[in-house]
Amino acid sequence: MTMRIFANGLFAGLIAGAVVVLLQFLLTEPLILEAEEYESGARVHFAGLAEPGVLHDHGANEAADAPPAPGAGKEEAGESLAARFALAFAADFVVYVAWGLILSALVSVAIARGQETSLQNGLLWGLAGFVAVQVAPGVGLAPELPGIPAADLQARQIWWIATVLAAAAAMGLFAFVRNPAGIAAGIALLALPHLIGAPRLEQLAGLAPPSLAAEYVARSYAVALAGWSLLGLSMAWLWGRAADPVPVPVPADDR
Amino acid sequence: MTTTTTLARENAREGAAGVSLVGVGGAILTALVLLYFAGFAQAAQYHDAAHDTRHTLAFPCH
Repeated sequence: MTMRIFANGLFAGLIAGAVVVLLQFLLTEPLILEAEEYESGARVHFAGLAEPGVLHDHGANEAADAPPAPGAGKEEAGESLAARFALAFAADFVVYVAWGLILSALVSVAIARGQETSLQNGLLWGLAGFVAVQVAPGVGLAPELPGIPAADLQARQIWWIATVLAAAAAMGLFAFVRNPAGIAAGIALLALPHLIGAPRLEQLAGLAPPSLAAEYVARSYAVALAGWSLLGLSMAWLWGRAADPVPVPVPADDR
Repeated sequence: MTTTTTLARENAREGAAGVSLVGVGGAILTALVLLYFAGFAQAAQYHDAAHDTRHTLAFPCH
């Protein structure tokens, strides 16, 4: 059982992580690199708009507004960019293996309580993780492009951790304590961090255009939804395989 | 329905026989260590290596 928790968590994390790496490369990395051009000053958000009279002259702004050529950032520093991607993608695997291990541990308890390892349940486990880890904290701390000033990092990290823990507990209550009191407690746990409020700057600002940030948030959630769905589905598949009625010697199985 | 119930019972039996506190605690602890380095540690080498991942996966970063 112990080995199964680790093995299933590891493999589900690797499966989901592989897809997250691909989606990060296709969806979010281009926007991160573009945002860094605004951060470094290579691009300027209001370029051309500062002079009166050109505000509505779209021709004059074309250069600044044109979307970047695909891979424009990549040519600048080929090798260091490859190294940067390699590290980021390794980190994706580390994060998703970590989520996989946590989910696997919780699923082992759920199975012990009689929950089936159907793909439907797997998808629900994944969606519960998506809500707990992405949606709940994201309501207060939206996914951020580089170059956007934000409140004190430590305060945000603490709020993020507390919110994820509360939301995960709420998911557990919804799943296993299916009575009005449990559901009310779950809703309270979901709401509480937002009643307290996430650390937030009084005045928001940012070097990149709001539209770029909006695009980024949408894509970040798409990546997360794909990753968590796949994590839950592969978790159910892996635990289902283990639960197949194979003749297993009963004693001393727990190595 | 019958199959479902049987399967659930089988799972329950296996779980009850084999739920591993060491496994559950060990896996969660391992995960927290991994998450600390990939998502939270501010030392430059961890932050820089995981920078784009932290942004993509919406960990508080800067």
